[in-house]
Amino acid sequence: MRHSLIAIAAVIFASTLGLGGAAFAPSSSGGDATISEPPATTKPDGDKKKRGRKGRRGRKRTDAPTSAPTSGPTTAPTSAPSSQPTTTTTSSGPATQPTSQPDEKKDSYFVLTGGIIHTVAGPDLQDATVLCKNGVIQAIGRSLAVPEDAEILDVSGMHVYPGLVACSSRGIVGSEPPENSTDVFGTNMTLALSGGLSTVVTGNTAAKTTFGTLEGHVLRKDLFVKLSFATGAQKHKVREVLGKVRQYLRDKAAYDKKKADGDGEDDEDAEAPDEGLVKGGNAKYLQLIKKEKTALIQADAQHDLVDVCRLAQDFGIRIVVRGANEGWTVPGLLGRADVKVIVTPRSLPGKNEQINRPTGGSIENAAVMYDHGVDIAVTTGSANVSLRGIAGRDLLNLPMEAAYAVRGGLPEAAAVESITLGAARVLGIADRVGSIEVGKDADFTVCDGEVLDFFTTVQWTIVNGRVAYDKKAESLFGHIRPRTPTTQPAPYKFWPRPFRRPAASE
Amino acid sequence: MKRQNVETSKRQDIETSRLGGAGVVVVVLLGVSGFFVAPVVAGDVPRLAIKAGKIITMDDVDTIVNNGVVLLADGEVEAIGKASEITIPDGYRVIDAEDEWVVPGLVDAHDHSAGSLYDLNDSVYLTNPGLRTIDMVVPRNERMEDALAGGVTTVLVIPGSGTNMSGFGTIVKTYGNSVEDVVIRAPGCLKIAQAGNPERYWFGVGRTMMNWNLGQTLEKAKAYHESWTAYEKGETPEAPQYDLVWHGFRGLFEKKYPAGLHTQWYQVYMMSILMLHDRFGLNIVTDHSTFDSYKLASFVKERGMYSVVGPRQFYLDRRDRTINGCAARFAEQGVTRLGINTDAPVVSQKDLSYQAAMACWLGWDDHYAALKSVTRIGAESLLIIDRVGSLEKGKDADVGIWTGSPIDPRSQCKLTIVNGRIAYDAKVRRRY
Repeated sequence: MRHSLIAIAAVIFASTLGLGGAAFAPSSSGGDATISEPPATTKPDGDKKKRGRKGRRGRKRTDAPTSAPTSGPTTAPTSAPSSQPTTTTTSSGPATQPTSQPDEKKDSYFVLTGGIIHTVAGPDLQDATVLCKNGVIQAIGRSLAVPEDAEILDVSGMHVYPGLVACSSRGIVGSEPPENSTDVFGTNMTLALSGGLSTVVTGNTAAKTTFGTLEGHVLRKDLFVKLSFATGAQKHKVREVLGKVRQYLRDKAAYDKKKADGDGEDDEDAEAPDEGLVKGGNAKYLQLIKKEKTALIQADAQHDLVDVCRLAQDFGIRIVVRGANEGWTVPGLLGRADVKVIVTPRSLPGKNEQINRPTGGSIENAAVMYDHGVDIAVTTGSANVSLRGIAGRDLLNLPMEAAYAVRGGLPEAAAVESITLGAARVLGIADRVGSIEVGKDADFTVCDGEVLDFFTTVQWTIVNGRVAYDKKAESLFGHIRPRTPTTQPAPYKFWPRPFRRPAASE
Repeated sequence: MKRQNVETSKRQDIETSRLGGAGVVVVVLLGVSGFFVAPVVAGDVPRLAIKAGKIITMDDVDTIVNNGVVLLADGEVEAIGKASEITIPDGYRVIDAEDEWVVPGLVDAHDHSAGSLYDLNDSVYLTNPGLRTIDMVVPRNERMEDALAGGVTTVLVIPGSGTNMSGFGTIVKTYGNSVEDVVIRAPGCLKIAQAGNPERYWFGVGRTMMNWNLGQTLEKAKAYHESWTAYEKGETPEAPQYDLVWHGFRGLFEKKYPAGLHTQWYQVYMMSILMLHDRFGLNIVTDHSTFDSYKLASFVKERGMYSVVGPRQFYLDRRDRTINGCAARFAEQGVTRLGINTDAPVVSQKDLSYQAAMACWLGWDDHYAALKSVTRIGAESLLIIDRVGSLEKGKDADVGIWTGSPIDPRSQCKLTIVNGRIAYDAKVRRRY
């Protein structure tokens, strides 16, 4: 009964949020909802009872009702380790599952109650409950039925945000590939968590700050195709190769069509386009043309940005620009070319007085681009967590960088989005993280105030449905405004902020 | 969780804390080492009336006026009061800031950026008495425009910390055309640097040598000062020989200006206080005060000294694995004479208020005190509270108009007024 209530709530929420396929009802027949999981015998016994080991695995399970045909990406059976003994059955029939390892299949539930939920994707919800199963958000709402064995975190009065997303990082997780070298107990990871970060990018990989475990650590690899697009020679090369690859695809399509339509005689005259054009170093350009991948380009100056926009429009490829200090001078162009931008509001290079056009940085950069429909992600000037003592410029204070974008005129909601869902969108991982929605990863940053407020500290950071950071339990910040059982964040408004844009500077 | 809410407090009569009217300032030039007091240029200064949503006066009774009016004339504050009590006379240009905060121009008590950055560390000797920064002040440089964009109107420009004694600092305004225009007082302080950076000096001196050498230099200065004092009192018949190097130190021992210390770390901090405050009886301001200096907060409190924290705002204590906000740790032990600095260009001058915001984030629960630390406290520590650091009748017309609390990074400084002149207008050319 309890489970079916959750199921109903989940389905309602899922359908509201357009994620109908992502939420499933747990089976009411004894909680054995993971019937299509590869047999438990392939796992070492020692890991069976560790909660943490279950986190990310849960995502890949087909939690579909047992009666439904397994349609769509039912990854579990096919993703079984290839080292699995061939004698082991891979049948997904419920009756054939061995039942000797009940612990292995137990679902882990995590519940946040009482907080002010800033979903980012939708309205803020007061006093809502978020129910997570196996590291994925399963339901959001009031009066949700909570499984008995759920881990419940009461965050009454606290502000709950999606886990923050850092578009680049150094020293928080290992260098690429992070799973080989991340120190999951490292101080830097704790510091990143104390800043509310749940997802960071190292090299070309998005990784989670999964304190204490590598389970679910890597979120996605090969985020971008990085292009060098600064000098004239580099720009020539990129355009030339893209042109060749595009021509190859056209020739190939014409050739295929001819072959299909032909009466047989012409086929022998027809010449297949040279496949070598899209192999080796050019393969990544093929991915760009096919829109399988997004290009990442470092560009700041106006003329570089203009060239990037032309590249995007001429070849129809997706581009993310890192930097874009002078983006405010060509915001309409960026918007029309659908170029996404990773920007640092406080990156303010000086004006070049020798050029008769707007140059240099502007604190209004993020706001101006946002107004022109550019997707923006905000990141800090230094991509590490710094213990030097010069506070407020590194990833310990990512929200403060967004606060400076507000100073430049960005609406506060957009500023919060720029370090959560906006950043996830720019990185191409918005299907997993960035907002509090059913079906997304259970990553939360729980603050004692609004995240853009300079008095606010992060109280808990939850990654993949596990409490990865608890301020009170950590010596680093625990002594600062210590949390007591009665701590209630004050409804803190120092001065009603005028919600009108400051006059644009000339 | 205490978060101070600034509300309207009782309006009290604001005393005129400065004698004389507009532009009546005595200019004293006592050779190279005397006091240099810049005249406030009268004449074409506009008369301004600011209609303010909130006025933080930072006066000694912490007056805050909601819906008030500030009148500025002849480079000075002419009147402050409620909008209902003050009629704006004819001939005043009215600035509408009815949605905004009006605060005193911010004061940065430790800064290098108003001078030529190439001449900070003339490391000729381990102590270099007699050097002055007034010779290197560059009134209108790019970094001063940053300062104005951050609402900073007064800075103490001091030499670097490459040697134990690197010269006399100069207190300047951030807007003006000439050195005479901008200088508030020279010497503004004597810069002394303890440990850390001076250890890079030529032969790798350590703290033992540095303390001895610094003490010896100050003993010479003190002896010179005492011989002149004795002569002036008539205790000795013959005037001592005038010495260019040591004459500037007389004001230091007369406590007309403080010694500004580069000092941090527990042992160094303690030694600084014991030597300079206790042994030589100087008025000292401990700048930096970072790392674990806060463990000596009781020393500072007992002596009634001023500490100006920054640019570092926190210290990781590796022994108990805690991150400690330096200002917060001083404050929780009862130190109220607590300022915040940028050490510009280490931290850009425009981020003075952000330095205070970070001090708050790191545990200093007092929003009002944080604002005070970058206005009134800075001015008090430099003994210029009679002119700047608060908005009171008769004081310099140094004003910042902000969209909210200056400490909040989301607030923008829209207008900065220095000596009654509009020095920065975000509508004309926004910088921050």
